[in-house]
Amino acid sequence: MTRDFSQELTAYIDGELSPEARAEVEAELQRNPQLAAVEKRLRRSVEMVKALPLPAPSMNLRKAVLQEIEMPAPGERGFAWLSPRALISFGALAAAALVGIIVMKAPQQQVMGSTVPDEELLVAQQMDVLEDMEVAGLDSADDIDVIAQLNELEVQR
Amino acid sequence: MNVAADDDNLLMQKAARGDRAAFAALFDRHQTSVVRFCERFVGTRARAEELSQDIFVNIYRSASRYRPDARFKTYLFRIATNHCLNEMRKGEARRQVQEPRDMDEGPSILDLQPASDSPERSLEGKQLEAVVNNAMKAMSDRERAAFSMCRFEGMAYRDIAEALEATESAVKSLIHRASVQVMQQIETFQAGISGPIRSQA
Repeated sequence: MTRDFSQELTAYIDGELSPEARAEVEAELQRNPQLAAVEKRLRRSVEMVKALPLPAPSMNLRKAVLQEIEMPAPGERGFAWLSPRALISFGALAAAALVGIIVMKAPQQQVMGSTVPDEELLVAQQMDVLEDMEVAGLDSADDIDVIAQLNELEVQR
Repeated sequence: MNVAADDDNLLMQKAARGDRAAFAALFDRHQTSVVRFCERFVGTRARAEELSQDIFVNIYRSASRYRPDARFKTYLFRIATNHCLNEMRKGEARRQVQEPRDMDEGPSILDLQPASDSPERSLEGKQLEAVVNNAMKAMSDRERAAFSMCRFEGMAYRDIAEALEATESAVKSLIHRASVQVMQQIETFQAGISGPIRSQA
């Protein structure tokens, strides 16, 4: 059976044949001018393709890749709040909020003896002031201090 | 191959420890190769860059599982090949390509005469690129991948075989068939024969 050396030509040009196979192909190229002509054509096209320029690098792609690796992977995004750093931040925030609520509620509870929401307390206090102003026959906003002083005197008695 | 001497592997190991500067260096070194490789499959630069972004992000996120038992470039192109082949399977990038010609059924390479005996015409870079691109469209996906890695990346057949998860013998056949197709397209173009190459270039 005749060996088809043409199948070996590309690997020969690429330097991918063993020393023995390379020697066999070279011997055949000497004997067979048709094979030698094809080898020349193949070699020329390989050299032309290798000479093609590389595309220019893309700065947009660089920016997009480096930005994306800063973010959690899609599979991890749903559980990002479970990371130690996120849990510590969340804990600190919750503690601060709790302290704030206690501080705000404490004087209010001492005065009112109840846990009425802040907004309602403010409205109620303003209603009291308005009623007192009406009782005292005052109608100017400048007189709010007068009502406050009267209330203070009443508490002291 | 001296794996320890592969500088890319050292950078990858640093990237695995969260060193983003090391990963950026790897990216800078290989981005043009990967974009060009992807472009051969998906046909447009924009889609090739999107695919390249997925490939590099995937590599960074799986860096902790990286084992330097091969060249980094082989690892990179194995991932790039899988991404490109998946993309082609999804059909989004699938173009109408001819069935690859079976060399066993066609004429022998020795019967293929040059398209012209006239003095060789010079091909400008862009023309040549268009001719090569059209020749590559007619290749099978694996021929295209093997040809790209060989001709544009200068990878050895053994590394290409590893990237394609194929035997060296199979890679040798893939590259030979692809190289013959490209040779014929270049010669046809140089001979000035009007045909699909011209209309698509």
